[in-house]
Amino acid sequence: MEISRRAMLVGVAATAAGCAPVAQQFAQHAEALPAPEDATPEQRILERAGFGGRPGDLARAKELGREALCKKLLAADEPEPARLKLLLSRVDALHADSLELMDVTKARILEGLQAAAVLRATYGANPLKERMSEFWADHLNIYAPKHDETFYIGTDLEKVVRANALGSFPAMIKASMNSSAMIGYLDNDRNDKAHPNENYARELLELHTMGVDGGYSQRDVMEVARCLSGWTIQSRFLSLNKGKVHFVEERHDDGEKTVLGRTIPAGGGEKDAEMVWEIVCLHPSTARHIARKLVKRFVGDAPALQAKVEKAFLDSKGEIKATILPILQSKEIVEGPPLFRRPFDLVVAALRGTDADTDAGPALQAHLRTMGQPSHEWPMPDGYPIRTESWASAMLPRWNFAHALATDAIAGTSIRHKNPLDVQPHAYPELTAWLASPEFQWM
Amino acid sequence: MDVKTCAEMASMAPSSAATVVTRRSVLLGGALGMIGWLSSRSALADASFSKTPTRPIVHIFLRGGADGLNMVVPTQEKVYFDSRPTLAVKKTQPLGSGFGLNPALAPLYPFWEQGKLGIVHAVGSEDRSRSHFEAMAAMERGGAAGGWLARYLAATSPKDPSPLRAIAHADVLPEMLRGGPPALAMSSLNDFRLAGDPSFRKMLDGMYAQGQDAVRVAGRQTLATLDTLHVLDPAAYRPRHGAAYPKEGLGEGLRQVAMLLRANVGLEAACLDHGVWDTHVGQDGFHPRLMAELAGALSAFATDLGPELDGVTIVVMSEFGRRVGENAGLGTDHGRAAPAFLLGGGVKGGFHGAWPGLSDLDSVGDLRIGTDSRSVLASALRLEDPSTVFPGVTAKVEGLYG
Repeated sequence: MEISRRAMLVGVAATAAGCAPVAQQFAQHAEALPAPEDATPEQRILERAGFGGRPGDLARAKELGREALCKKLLAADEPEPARLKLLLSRVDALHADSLELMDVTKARILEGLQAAAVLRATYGANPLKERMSEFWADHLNIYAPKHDETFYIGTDLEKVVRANALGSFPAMIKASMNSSAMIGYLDNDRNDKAHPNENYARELLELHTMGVDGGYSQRDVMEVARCLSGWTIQSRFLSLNKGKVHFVEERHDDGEKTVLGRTIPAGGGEKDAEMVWEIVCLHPSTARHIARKLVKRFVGDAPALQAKVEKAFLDSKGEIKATILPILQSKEIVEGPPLFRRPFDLVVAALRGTDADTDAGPALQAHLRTMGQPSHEWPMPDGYPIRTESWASAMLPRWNFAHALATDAIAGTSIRHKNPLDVQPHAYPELTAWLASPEFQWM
Repeated sequence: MDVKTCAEMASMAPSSAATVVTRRSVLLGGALGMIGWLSSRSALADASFSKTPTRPIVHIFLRGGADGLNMVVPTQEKVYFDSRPTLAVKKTQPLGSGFGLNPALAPLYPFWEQGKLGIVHAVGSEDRSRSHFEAMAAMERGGAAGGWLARYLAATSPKDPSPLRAIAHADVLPEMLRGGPPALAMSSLNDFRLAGDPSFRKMLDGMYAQGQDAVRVAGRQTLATLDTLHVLDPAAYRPRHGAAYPKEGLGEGLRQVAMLLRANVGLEAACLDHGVWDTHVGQDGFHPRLMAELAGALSAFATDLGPELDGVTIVVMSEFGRRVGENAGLGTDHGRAAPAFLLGGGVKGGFHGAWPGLSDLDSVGDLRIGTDSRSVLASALRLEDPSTVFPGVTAKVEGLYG
């Protein structure tokens, strides 16, 4: 009996995969997406401009209407719930100076920051702010385990990413240029006049602002590196400003430079970095790069919308709320094809959808790690990938997470709500099926 | 693999594929799909992986830009020593032709001596951005849409492809495998198990049975792979010939690849990443460790394969090499060209390709490209006509493979 049932089960899968060569099927449908579901505008907004709804959120959003919903999301002025504050109060890295943290083990700091990322996305009262914080943390990615970055990254996430998540893009870049974590991660603390280190200069242009096709040359990278030479991190063994970014005149190349055709006169000293900031932050290439990335992350491929976002960025001088407004108002965000949920999207949407109580501790983080997206651990400066193709080939850890959550098998996490239909109309009514379904992989 | 080695394998590892698969395929009455693929292949007495229709390729990508000049050192070039007052490697294992091997790569030397290791120095792509991501994309796409390996696999698809035909030992599928037949990203075989009882499996079978979107296709492939791996036992795999794999990272990845090759589950392409080789600062602090990891893992893999190394093509590449001159942080910045290491698959040992030398650097101070990465790959794939996978490329690397 056991054998024949098993054989039958295998037969089901085998028939599905075996009636035509899989490769042939795939070759014809490599880019195929599921048919757009009849997601309401409000549901799409909750999923894209946040991390999905909690039970009852959709009904409330519908009552509010799309316009008012977007306005509320953009305002992002709701007080944070007590539950979140309490949970975050236990995270060392959010409550201690970088230097004090050096007494704490790196593993504990990282564990805390990873928990904080999930807790904020899950319980934060301002979903769009959390969504944009995730976006910018990827955009200005820092690999937390590198050297002292573990101690500095908490400050970076507060002062660079979260402080500006819905604020000003140029202000965010300026803060990033003064972030010990970024200066250390991209080696600018080793950039001096004798031998410029190009690492930060290159990524500042390529990833943070203008984009790789932004029209700068290798020569520009080298000139920007000269401009940024001398900016380093104060030794943690000195008494004043230890661990802070500061400028060392003797290490700075004070000769004349030319960046993107603009002359930066000799003798500029620490003003050189500000000149670079002025040249690149609101450059048309930067507008295009940021617009392209925002649209790709929140809508997918939508050239007409991208043009609007680009214009909004330039018109507002990089105000982030004004820049993303056209995305929230677009018909593409509602009518366009679904987007694949990255592991973090999936986990948070599941936690919200089941109204789970979670400490976002090691047991939950282990699932994110197996799925491939532990927060702040992408080693390269481009941040976790966005494209479906990068992620969709690893389904097993997603299913195992769905099963574990639905059966309360994750230590420190328990679900409080078991009816998917209160979150998503037309869902599978059974919780495990809903979370493991093909449909739940998309948003 | 002849009948004797097949029996030998079965006796060494009691739960190995050869015995269990047969039993299971009988139980299952020769079900369709993957199980069918597996059992039909296993039924053949000469089911050696070296005799699969295409020679399996194992690609190891050194992410971050490996400093090839400190790996295969140009010991006769004064410019090298002048440009690297601190970082130049002074003691090397002579390889001839004016090069020496970094001592950290010593585990590879026996293969060089036996004529089993080919080196093409100064390999690179046409990308001049010196951006990791652009350079990787250029190399992994190889001049057309999608990945070069995906295009190759699409062009050589058998009638009943194995769901384990192409795997990446990674969390995220690398670009070279995207846009073609389905490939699986798995960080480990050891924990490739579905939670829950059979009812969960049945639920998934139902939900993923239909549909051609990326998720459903990947879902079906995963279900079929679970069936295959169900009959294998990675923990019971015993390397041969005294091979000792490093326990973590690349070593563990290659150990699992060896297991899949031996289990004869239709593996044709395996992609592994190693790194990060981005040695901007304090290079001597971690470059030797990276080299030792690479050499240790490769040497164990080649040793394990033994005589069957000839049936498996191993390619090691990086997106670019590094600047000839060292920087202020005792590291090196992004350059253009780095060596490719070729092991197995009938490679002709020794140096191949053009060496542009260090006396004629490009305007930035980088070693010029001697050989296009696509020519190396076209040779490794034994393509009659390289342009079938790499549009516009006509040249292979002369004499690299016999």
